[in-house]
Amino acid sequence: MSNIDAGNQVSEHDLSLIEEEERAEKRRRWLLLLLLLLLALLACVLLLFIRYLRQPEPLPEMIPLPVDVNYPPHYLFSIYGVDKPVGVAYSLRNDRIYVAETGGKRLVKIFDRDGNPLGSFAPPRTMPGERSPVYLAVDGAGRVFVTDRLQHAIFVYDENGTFLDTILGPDLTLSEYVLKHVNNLRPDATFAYNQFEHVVYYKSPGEPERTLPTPEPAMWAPLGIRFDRTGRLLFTDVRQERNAVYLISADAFSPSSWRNFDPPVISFGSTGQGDGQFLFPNSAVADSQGRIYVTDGNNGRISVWDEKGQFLFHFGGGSGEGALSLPRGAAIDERDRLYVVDAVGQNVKVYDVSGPEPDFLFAFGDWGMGDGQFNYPNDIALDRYGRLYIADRENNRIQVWSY
Amino acid sequence: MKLRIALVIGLLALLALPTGLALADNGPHGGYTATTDACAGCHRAHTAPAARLLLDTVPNLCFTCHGSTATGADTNVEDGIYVDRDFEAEAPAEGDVNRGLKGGGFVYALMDTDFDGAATSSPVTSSHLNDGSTGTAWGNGNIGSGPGAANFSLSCTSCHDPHGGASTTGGATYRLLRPIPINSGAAIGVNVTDETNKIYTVADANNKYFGEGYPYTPGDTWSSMDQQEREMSDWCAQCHTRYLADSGSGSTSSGDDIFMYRHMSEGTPSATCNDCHIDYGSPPTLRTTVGPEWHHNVECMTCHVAHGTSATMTGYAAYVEWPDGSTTPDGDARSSLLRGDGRGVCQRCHGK
Ligand code: HEC
Ligand code: HEC
Ligand code: HEC
Ligand code: HEC
Ligand code: HEC
Ligand code: HEC
Repeated sequence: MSNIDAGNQVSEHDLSLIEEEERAEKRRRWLLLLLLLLLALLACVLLLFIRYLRQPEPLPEMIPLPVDVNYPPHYLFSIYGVDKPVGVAYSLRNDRIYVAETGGKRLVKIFDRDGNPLGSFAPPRTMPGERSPVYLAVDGAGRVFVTDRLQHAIFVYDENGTFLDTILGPDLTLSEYVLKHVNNLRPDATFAYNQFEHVVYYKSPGEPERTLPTPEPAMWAPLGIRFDRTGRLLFTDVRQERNAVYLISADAFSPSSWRNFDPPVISFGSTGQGDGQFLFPNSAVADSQGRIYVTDGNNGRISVWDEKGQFLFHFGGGSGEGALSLPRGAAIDERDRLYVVDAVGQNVKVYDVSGPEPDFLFAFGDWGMGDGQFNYPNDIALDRYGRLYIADRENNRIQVWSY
Repeated sequence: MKLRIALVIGLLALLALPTGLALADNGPHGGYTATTDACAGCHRAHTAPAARLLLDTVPNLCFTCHGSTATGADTNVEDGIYVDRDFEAEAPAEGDVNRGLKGGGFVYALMDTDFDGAATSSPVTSSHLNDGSTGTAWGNGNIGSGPGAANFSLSCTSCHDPHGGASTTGGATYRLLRPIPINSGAAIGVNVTDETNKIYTVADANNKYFGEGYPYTPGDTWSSMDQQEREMSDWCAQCHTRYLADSGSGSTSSGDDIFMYRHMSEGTPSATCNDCHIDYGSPPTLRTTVGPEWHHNVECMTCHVAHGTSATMTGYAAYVEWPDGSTTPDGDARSSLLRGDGRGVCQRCHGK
């Protein structure tokens, strides 16, 4: 009995030994596989690292990530060499970044996507204390439109910053005005108007410079400015008499209609704190359905309008999640996510506005001077590669973030 | 911690209710209501470092609205320009934007400092802001206490109360001025009476910074204006204690070895009509020995602006010793917030 038992025991023991060996073998194979995998991964990382060393491009650029993610972007790097920047815009045409400074000489500066400086410009015949470039927009042709709070005008430049024209009011350009006073405006003639000098300068090649009387005082105060996807221009007007948003149709900016600038304009809003009213609206952007979102600065909220200029509702006020302190520049991406720079909140708040109700997704950034921290940020621009450019005013830089 | 801050803010919001005044200017200062979101414009919601953030960077906060971009206010104090039309100041048809702010500017100022009838925007040569560094609050303290309070750091909130400038009796004060400026050491508050219609720009359409009434509201009588101007002098003297001098005190010793003989800077001149006029025809004939503004009160604001000036100094005026005997800064930086180049302000009255 005991023998049998013993035999049984032995065979059971042997069995378990074999089993164990088999398991060990399996484990070894697994480990080997894992090791191989790890080695492969290491090789990949090494390869990436070598590539990174040879070409120090930000990593996420090498593995293009789809932008349809709902987690916050991360900080990449900063563009320095700008003095208290308030406005930033991206040109789809040539991948350039345009930045409006409020410190120093108050120039608009041009950078490539990696932050290399390409040039700078300012309204002709103005001194720094007479100009204040704030927000910018770039059209499909690469022309740069800059609002100026002291000049009460929108300056238009070509992609390299050569002055083209000034929009003096919703239905008047400087070239148009000059043309009324001189019978023929040659394309190589130059003209300029500085509100502080109360005089329009005009010079045709081969002739002495002339001065023309000044236009009527501007009855507007253009501030926020953006082109929407269809090429329409949206801008905000912060003059006390009537805070409003203006919408100018796309064809107004074609060369043929430019000479007679009197485009159909939709405008909506008034000054105040009620529904459909604004206090210092700083930005207006449109989503894919044509709805318009206005950052209603001093009211601390976003107000939403339909494409015809009918007030729908506002959100982002109060003190709940996603509540805004002082909303300023805004942008909207392909997936209808609305990015709002909160100057006093010291971050960027992101809302999903694709549905009927806006949905707060996340905020990124915090107050400070380190990487990824903001000190009175004011504006944001998005490029086509999933990068975000944020004007970080008191840190004197443009921060570049990416998904 | 967060809870405590929330509680404090909540309590303050409650406290702010009864003293709140409806503001006509749509500004975020005061006039808070129960449903107000107005705190948010300056304070971050839910964030612990809020208080520290604001204290560290007060001018940055203020410039976010009042800066050269004027993205949240029409008073651009960096350039000293009111960027909208000043309906209260202008004749209805004028439509002019960009008039000079009464206070001047902190970076640029749009002033006619040589009184030639044309203002140009020029860099500021002296200003009342030394945020980050310090200066001497000249004449601060009692008789005989030296040149003043050294290492004095000045920020916007030294003078202004961003929450609505409650006077000692509960009403609003002119420009949210604190009855007791921060670190002034003053014991008794000085209220500067607020104006009914806010006029932020200088009276002269060409930005000649002289002959202002402070504060002035259409309908004010000479005597109510006098009173407000005197309040303003008293207010400056909360920090510059020993600069106040009564009529005739230019020849009376105050007993202070540094600030002994001051120009009269409080009160109405003892001049009579005939000091200026030869006859009263229209136009009247005026004596040539007196300047055009002789009739004017002599108050701090007669000669000085509150924020900064672009006046330039040459000759003697550029090298006047400071009250502590030092000689720097000199040159244009000795412009001492004056409303005109050199001693142009003296000429406006004394007409040399
Ligand atoms: C125009 C900007 C502004 C607005 C609007 C504002 N505050 Fe303030 N607040 C400040 C500043 C600046 C300070 C920093 C203290 C100082 O320098 O006087 C401050 C300080 C405070 C403090 C004290 C914190 C500290 O550490 O000293 C409290 C509490 C406070 N505010 C509550 C409120 C409430 C409640 C509201 C709304 C009813 C409000 N504030 C609206 C600018 C503002
Ligand atoms: C959210 C924007 C905003 C911020 C931030 C802000 N202000 Fe103002 N402030 C205004 C507006 C709007 C007015 C109304 C006049 C105008 O349009 O300029 C005003 C008016 C004033 C006035 C004149 C008030 C009167 O009764 O005549 C003073 C003084 C002032 N602000 C000081 C400050 C100071 C100091 C700070 C920083 C602590 C500050 N402000 C921050 C928007 C702002
Ligand atoms: C030394 C005190 C002092 C300091 C510091 C100061 N102010 Fe003033 N501020 C005044 C006085 C006084 C006036 C009234 C000026 C007048 O009416 O001539 C004034 C006027 C103003 C006005 C109304 C517009 C004008 O120019 O009259 C605004 C807005 C204002 N201050 C904002 C600010 C801001 C923002 C800062 C900080 C960057 C600041 N102040 C710093 C004393 C001061
Ligand atoms: C909160 C205290 C305070 C108040 C109130 C104040 N001042 Fe001053 N003032 C100072 C300080 C501090 C300095 C030195 C600034 C520096 O050198 O950085 C100064 C400097 C000056 C200067 C010399 C400017 C220069 O170039 O340094 C003049 C002039 C002056 N103040 C006039 C006035 C007048 C006029 C008023 C009233 C409208 C006034 N101050 C209100 C604190 C104050
Ligand atoms: C707003 C007009 C006005 C301005 C500006 C003015 N003064 Fe006077 N000045 C007067 C009046 C009025 C008196 C008579 C004072 C009195 O009644 O005590 C006077 C008196 C004097 C006196 C005689 C001393 C005395 O008090 O008896 C001197 C010296 C003088 N001023 C120099 C100056 C200088 C220097 C300046 C420039 C810094 C100046 N004044 C700017 C109006 C002015
Ligand atoms: C009649 C014109 C006039 C009046 C009124 C006046 N000041 Fe001055 N102030 C000047 C001049 C000019 C200077 C330049 C230095 C000098 O010449 O003494 C000056 C300089 C100053 C300085 C710089 C330090 C110094 O003494 O050089 C301070 C501070 C000052 N004044 C404060 C005041 C205050 C506060 C008042 C009102 C109580 C006032 N001033 C009234 C003309 C005036």
